[in-house]
Amino acid sequence: MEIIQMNNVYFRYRPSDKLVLKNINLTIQSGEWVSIVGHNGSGKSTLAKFMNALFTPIEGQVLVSGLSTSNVNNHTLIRRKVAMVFQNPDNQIVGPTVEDDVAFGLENCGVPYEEMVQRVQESINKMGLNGLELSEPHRLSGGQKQRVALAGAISMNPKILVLDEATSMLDPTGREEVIRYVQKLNRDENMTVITITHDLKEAVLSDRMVVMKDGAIIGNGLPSALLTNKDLLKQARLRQPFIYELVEALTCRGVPISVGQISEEELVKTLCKLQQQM
Amino acid sequence: MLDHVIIGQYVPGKSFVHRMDPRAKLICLMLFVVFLFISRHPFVLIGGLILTTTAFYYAKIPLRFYIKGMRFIVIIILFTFILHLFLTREGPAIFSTPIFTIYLGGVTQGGFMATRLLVLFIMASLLTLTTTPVALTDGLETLMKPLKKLGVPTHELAFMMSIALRFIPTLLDETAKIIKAQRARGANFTQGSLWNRLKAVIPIFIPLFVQSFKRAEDLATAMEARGYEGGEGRTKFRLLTWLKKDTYAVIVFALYALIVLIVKIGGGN
Repeated sequence: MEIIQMNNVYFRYRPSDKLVLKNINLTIQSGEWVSIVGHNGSGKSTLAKFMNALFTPIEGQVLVSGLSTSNVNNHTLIRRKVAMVFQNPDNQIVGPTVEDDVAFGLENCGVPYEEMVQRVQESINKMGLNGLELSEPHRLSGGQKQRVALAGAISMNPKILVLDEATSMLDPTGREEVIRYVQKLNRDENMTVITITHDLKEAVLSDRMVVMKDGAIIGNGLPSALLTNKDLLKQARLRQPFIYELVEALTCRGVPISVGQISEEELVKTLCKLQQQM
Repeated sequence: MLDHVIIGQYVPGKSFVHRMDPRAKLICLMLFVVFLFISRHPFVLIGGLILTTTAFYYAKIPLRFYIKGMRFIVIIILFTFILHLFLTREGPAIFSTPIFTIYLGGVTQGGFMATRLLVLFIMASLLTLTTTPVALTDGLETLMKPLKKLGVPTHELAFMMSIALRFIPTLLDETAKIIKAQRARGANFTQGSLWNRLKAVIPIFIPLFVQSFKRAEDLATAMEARGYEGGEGRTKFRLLTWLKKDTYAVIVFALYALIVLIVKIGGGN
């Protein structure tokens, strides 16, 4: 089932500006994990803001579970279906404590107190933040802060989760932490996940990858297929992830490894096996 | 460098005063402040002293926390005392030099005013020492609710205050970072004339302001994405609970107010 549909979307910030998005056509299926990659200024973050009606197209249309974002009356409903987590953890936490922040979205849509307490606790548990309920945001690590933002997002029971470079300001541990929880949401709860990122290591984990350049989509397909397409990566000014480079260098030297094996673990295992055979 | 900046001097605790409803505390303080200054009768001051000591006892906050915040206030109190000492010319002279004479009236007047200020200050700091800024904001919001009918944007005001409180630590961190960054570029904040030191602050504040605007914009986007549409139809996660003891506390302060009024009308000063 298509949950997000973008048809011939064009966008510019001001009438005198040049186009930021050009003829975007994109369909996202329910339960899918799609990563949108691209260089700085490729329009990927702008695209993300169309998914919950923060921006609306000047031409074309965006449908979120059948609701057009161009109709202002749909905005409240769309924003309850699509939760967003942004880049800077410090700039999106509103509440003075973890539980207050998780409750913020629920307060906004007028959820009764008893239900709110229960849902806040559930989300906090899901994101592994137990024991930090009363902590102040500035005492948390980057990874924890982003998990608070995630907890706030999922407390609304959204269908779609959009991560707008949510891991780009985190250290490697924090990044891994956040991605692990997102992966869990996608697998266990069948939540549609859209990650905007310029970290291709993250994109490798997704079901589908969309490559953007200068406001247009130039690639759309399996990560393993797109990441071996050197021309495409060069055009998008993206660097092939280390594993892909390594596999390629190895195949060049005649080591029998197929590109399909993407995870680091699998690669290490195959290499060990090969060594034993030698 | 910024460690000594105390934001909301809240001292965690479980005392009677800590557990009081912030609304009750605010009402009590307002009653106290207004009626302490309404009359000059010694009874009023003695009553105030008794209330303060009782509250001080029940708050169970070590004296050093009051003293810590006191330095600036002490100057004001001393200044008031000295002003009264020299300017009041009542009663017999008790000490005289060719330049000035001190009268007994000056000593009592000065002492009276100084005690009044001291009591007021202790009461006010009791509120901030025993109440988290968040609870205080909640209390203020509910107390201001009647003003909503007059068109005062009470929800927005309280919300602004709570966001400001939330961002104080973030901005302090940021300031510390900027100071380090500017130092690394050779800026000097601790030497040179006063004028130069003041000028050195400019490269701290400009990046801080620019960043704050950026933060504000990001926050607004995040709030919109999370469905914030103003105060209408919102429910509250934090509930204030008014207990019997809150009523009792307010009654005590209301009685004080009543006594002051009676003294004022009866005594005529």
